Amino acid sequence: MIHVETDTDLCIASGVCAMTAPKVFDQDADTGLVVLLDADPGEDQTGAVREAATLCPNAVISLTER
Amino acid sequence: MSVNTELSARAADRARGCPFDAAPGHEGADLNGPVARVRTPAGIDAWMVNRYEDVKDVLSDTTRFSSAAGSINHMLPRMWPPQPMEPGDFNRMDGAEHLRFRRAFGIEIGAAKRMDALRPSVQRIVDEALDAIAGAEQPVDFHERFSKPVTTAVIADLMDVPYADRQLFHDSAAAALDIEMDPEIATAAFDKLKAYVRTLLVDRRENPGDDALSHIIARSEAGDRPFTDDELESIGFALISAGFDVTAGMLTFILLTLFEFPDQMARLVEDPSLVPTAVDEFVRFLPGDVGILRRAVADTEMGGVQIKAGDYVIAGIGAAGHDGSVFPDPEKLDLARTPNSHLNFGRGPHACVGQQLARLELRVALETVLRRVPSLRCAVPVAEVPLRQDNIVPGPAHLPVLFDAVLPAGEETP
Repeated sequence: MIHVETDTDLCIASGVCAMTAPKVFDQDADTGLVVLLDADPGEDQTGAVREAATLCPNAVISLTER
Repeated sequence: MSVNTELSARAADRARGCPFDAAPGHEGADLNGPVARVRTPAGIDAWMVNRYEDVKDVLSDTTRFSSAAGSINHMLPRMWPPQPMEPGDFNRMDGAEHLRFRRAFGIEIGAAKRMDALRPSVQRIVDEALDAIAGAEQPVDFHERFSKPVTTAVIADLMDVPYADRQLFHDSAAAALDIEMDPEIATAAFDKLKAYVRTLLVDRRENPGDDALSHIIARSEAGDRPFTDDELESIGFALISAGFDVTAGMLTFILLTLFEFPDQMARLVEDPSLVPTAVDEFVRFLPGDVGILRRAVADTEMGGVQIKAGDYVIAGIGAAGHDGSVFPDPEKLDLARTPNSHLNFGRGPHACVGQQLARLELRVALETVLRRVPSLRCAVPVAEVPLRQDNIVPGPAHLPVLFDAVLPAGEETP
């Protein structure tokens, strides 16, 4: 299992996460900043979450194995 | 270390031999070493960083590398030394000051839901552009008649400004990117667009609409620290002038690449679900990037080279995309490449703010062209297609194409 954390202070509202793993990340409608929908997503989301963390331009997403 | 390579401003020089090869100074770490000493067209000496992890580091670590010199000012002599910073010159800001601007753009032209909302109008613009060339005399210049109108119309639509005003936008883009332009003419073009944006601001304050600028004004007014008119001018200026030219260049370059690799074109026609990964692969694969300028603000070491505070550093984003330790078989065009964490849209807080919009445009355009004009072919041998000589943006200057028919638009793509 993978645990997800986000550091909103770093978020630049690029939208990369919400496009890559839309079941786990959303964006605030007013600010565009990341909204974490599921901090402990299921196995089926692991690939997409890893990709989102890699592609996030400003290293907002950190992952830990549980 | 002495300078070992002089870089060229001309995109065509940075991708010579065959348009799909990188030029001297841009081939990457294997040929140039992890860090090379280069002289840029603006005459500054800089460290060109080529390895993927180092490039990512330069762009991401703002405690060691500042954006204050401007991201592409090293490419044109008239851009150097950089002008004093104007209010709202967010491209050259660091830290919290920059974030204040970056976020205002992010929600407007980056957010996933915003892109979903924009898709139908992008599709309509693409379809109309194809309808317009359907009966035209052939060969048709794909760049002038499709790529440029499409990317310009998307920006005009986003800003809700008349497409008829496009010459103003094109002149300003040329002032930013054309190599030979007289500095006074360039300044005049910028001033004209700034005046245009000022008028637009007054209008949007009085008559807010459903456009990017109106949204940004409204959000700003509701916040703790609203943007001043000077700052909004910079934002509007950037929204209008940055983006369509580079995106148009990429779209035409993609078509040229498909003509060069007909097997890949056939693969895309057969399986359009590959279009999204294909677009990012073209962005990674095609040469001609100018690199991104940073200035070290602390002494640091990179690739065995001592970099001192005050030194200029160029993040070789194109070279990074060909780093074999990250991209298996990097010289191969693999339209299904996944993952593809290239750095061609930049990285870090200054990562291209228009990258999602660019992806949307390129995906819709490519998918639609292949679906509606399957007979599309190059009117001349690929090697004879003229590359842009006047500009720091890579790609063909013109792309003469032939086709049997433009099929009806039909159903909107999912």
